[in-house]
Amino acid sequence: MFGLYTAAALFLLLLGLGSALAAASPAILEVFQDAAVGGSRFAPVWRVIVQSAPLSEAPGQVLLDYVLSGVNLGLGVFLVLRRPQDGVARLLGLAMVGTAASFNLQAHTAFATVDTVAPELHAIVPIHWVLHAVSGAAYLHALLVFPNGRVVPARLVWLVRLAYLSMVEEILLTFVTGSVGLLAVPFQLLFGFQGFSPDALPKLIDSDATFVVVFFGVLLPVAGTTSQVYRYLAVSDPNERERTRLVVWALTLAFGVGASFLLVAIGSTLVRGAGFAEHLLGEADFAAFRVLPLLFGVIPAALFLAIVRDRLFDIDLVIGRTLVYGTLTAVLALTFFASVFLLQQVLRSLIGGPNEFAVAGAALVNGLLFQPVRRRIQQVLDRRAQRRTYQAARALAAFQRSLREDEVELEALAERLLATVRDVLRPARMGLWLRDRDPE
Amino acid sequence: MYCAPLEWGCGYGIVTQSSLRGAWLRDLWATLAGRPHSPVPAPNFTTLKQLEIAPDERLIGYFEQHPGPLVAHGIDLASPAALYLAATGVSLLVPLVTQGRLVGLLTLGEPAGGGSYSRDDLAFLTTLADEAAAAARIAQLLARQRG
Repeated sequence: MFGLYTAAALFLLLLGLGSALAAASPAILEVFQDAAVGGSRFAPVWRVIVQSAPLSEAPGQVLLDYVLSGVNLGLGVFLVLRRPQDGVARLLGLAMVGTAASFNLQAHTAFATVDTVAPELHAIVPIHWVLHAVSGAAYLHALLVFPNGRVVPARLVWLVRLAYLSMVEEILLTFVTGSVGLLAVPFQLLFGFQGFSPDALPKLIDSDATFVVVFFGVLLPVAGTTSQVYRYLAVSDPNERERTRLVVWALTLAFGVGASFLLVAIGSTLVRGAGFAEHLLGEADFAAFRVLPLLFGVIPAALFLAIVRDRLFDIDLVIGRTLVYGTLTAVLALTFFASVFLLQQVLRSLIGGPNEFAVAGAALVNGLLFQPVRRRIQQVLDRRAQRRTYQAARALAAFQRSLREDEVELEALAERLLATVRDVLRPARMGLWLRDRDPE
Repeated sequence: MYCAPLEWGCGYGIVTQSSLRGAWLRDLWATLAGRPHSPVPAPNFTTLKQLEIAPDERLIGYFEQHPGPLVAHGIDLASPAALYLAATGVSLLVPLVTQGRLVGLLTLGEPAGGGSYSRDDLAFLTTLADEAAAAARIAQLLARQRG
């Protein structure tokens, strides 16, 4: 199910990315145009991409959108894959993957054209709202149960139920009506957004921008901070408190930004005398998409960091492997090119031979070198990059060997033990108390 | 009842405190001078002060129940030994427990280079303590056999 959900998010993102690429490069646009008029079953997809290309954002905005979406998508999938049994990680994964697709400005361009050029793809509209609904509910739930999986305080469980009730209602209504659910109605009314057409795109973005601010800037931080502060004061142990602190900081920052943004927008529109309903965010509607996702990104980042800090995956191992295989790749690539060059020279001078032999010979050399070089790099890095771990393993092995080989007296054992600890950990001082006779 | 220092017959025994301050300076000097680090000198067993732990000490019972490294400020026992340990700059206690019996206690101050002990350090100490505890128990049994 999570795979399907992620695939839907990825599909929406790729539609937007296709439009951006087509807008940026006439050659790519031409390829998509050829595909759009072809008889392929994917022709409607290419038609949407081609028609929405003129609506694309500036390249800088597209880059920002996709960097943020990439981070959200990557971290979300990573969490779910690494912690499939952890409910909080799964919720956060759902939230991050949904956010990646539903709050990407460029990915919204497809909605403006889909009904006109490819009505058979209208399903992407309800899918978009489903991603909104699921990610919103999952975010709220994750914040209320982080980090131990229980809703704290327990009476806030009604909020979780309400979130999931709204989620179900949004999903059902969007599929039944083919439009949007109840939560979107106020925004529709507010911005006069009706139906999906190129003209309606700015209104859709106004609507989504307001939703971003209200949800990520007000609702989530208020509910999350209430829960996390209560948890911090009344429930958490010291380790949980340390993790909660990070999340509360992130929520406070997001709430401050969201609330300030709304106040400034409302104040400026009132001062200008514009109608409140129509210009809630004034000129700042697009800024909501441009700036706020960066700031609101601190919530998932804080949750992710708080989970990672608990050694839910072994960062040392990841770094170690990266170092080993990165260096190995560089060494083997150099070896490959050097051996191709040398073999070419040798073969040419001996038999005027073809280059293919040189390439085959170089590949053989690389194959033979792979394991010995990997072992050697691993040893060197273990000694240098992870010196203490390496030292500890060696000291422990030496200590065990000495116990096996010698008959141990208590005093000698004490000396060895202290020497081993000192060599590895180097404490400023240490002591050893030993029972000098059998406790029996 | 608490034993007098090094009063072996009383049943509970030795404590050693060795200062390692300055070890990093020697190594740094060796590195700067292009020399290999000096071989580790024999442990300095200058006894700074004796720790006596009575057979009915609550600390013993605690460690037999919780045989793992313990940060010193985490001790919440109103016992003379715990108070002594807290007062002498001990930051980490590593019990040597085998077959449910405490046979020794390793105490460590802060790392000489600053910072704190990592999870890997604690894992190392735990493994080392397990090995040492079993060896100490054997040594005690052998000593008893010899009379």
